[in-house]
Amino acid sequence: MNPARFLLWGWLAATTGAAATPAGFQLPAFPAPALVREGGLPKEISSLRLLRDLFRGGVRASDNFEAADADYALLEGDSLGNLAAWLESACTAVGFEVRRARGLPYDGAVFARLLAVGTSLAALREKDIKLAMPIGVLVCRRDAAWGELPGDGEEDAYVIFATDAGMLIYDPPTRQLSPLKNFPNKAGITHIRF
Amino acid sequence: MLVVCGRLAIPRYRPYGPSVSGRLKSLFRTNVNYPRPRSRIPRPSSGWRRGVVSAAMAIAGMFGWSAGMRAEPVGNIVPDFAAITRNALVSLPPPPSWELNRISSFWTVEDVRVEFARLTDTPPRITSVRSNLLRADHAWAVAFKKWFLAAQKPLKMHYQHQLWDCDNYANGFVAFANLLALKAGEMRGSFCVGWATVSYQRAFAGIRAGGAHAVVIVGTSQGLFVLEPQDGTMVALKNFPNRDTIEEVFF
Repeated sequence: MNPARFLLWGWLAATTGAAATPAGFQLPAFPAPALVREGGLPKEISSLRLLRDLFRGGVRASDNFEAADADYALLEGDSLGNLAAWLESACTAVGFEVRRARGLPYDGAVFARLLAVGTSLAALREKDIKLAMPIGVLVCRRDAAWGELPGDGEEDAYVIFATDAGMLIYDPPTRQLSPLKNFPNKAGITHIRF
Repeated sequence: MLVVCGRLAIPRYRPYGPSVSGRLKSLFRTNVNYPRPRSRIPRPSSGWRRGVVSAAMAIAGMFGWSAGMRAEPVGNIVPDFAAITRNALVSLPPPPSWELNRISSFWTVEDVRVEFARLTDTPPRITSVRSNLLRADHAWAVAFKKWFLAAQKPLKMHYQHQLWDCDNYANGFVAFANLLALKAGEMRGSFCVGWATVSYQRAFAGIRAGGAHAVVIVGTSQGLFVLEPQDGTMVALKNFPNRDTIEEVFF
């Protein structure tokens, strides 16, 4: 075949194919977690240590705690900015503004799960990370006001991080962050899952 | 290649809640030592000391202060967008059209409970923040399953014990289903797609019997389905061989 004709057919096939295929979408690169390290390797904490940290944070013994893995990494407490930025950017990439999410029917577990998945996928690309990411979901009754959030008794879900600064609670739409020990709705926690 | 997930380590700690039956305890036995709940809970001392503490707290309360109950100033995360924009984007294949889901119906969480009670001997505990769950069109759910399998390559998703094992596959499936709902501008409610912990008494979809495993539960226009996210096997709940040992479902 004439090379010019071959190139023409190739170009035609490529352009018509692209026109017929619905567009995919893009997400920001997954956020590499900053982990606490010991001797160069990520520090390992057990699910029992997570439970102990919850007790230290003042969570009542009756709260339901579940961990899907036996060993977890530990996040650096002052490095959560890139995780929050990824969550907001990923949602913006699909046309959804996290900051306005509470004006719509809201399920915080969706965002906690998305952040845990994105961070785990980023860690999966690192050669020396073998541990589960310590990002979970905390479900509680909003009995007391917390910053911008009212104390109206509604059930709500937040992101919970295990860090070297202790357990931290994060609400993506308001960007509020609180150590567990200062979280005003500790008494209303019904579920914590890592 | 299918990989058999390791046992899920699920420490249960319900000293005041409903006790887990001995059978389920044995199913979910892990290498983690269960704490002995009551002996570890600090208890207020009895007698006159308790009275003194109560009186002190009452007096403190009169002055508007109570230990551990006052909300501390709230901090905020400052998102580091610069760190995110430095890296290349991840391109994903075109997702199935959402149009099929525009006429989807809803299930309440109670409806889901009833459905599990009808189809299983021991219905699992169901955890959901939302009371209404949007049922996916069945054809959409099947198309999404294929999309998820196709997206695993650009996502560089591969099995790795603990970091990305069965619960992560199941969580990932649910997270991307929810992300597509956000992308479609779905405002009616959360999706009826959740992940479940199951004690495998019988082998299914390449996963051997004898351990705990995580799968996806999908409520579609044709009922409840169980999906193995590692290979895409999808069966109706009534045909899932381990339906009676589903421990818990998280929507």
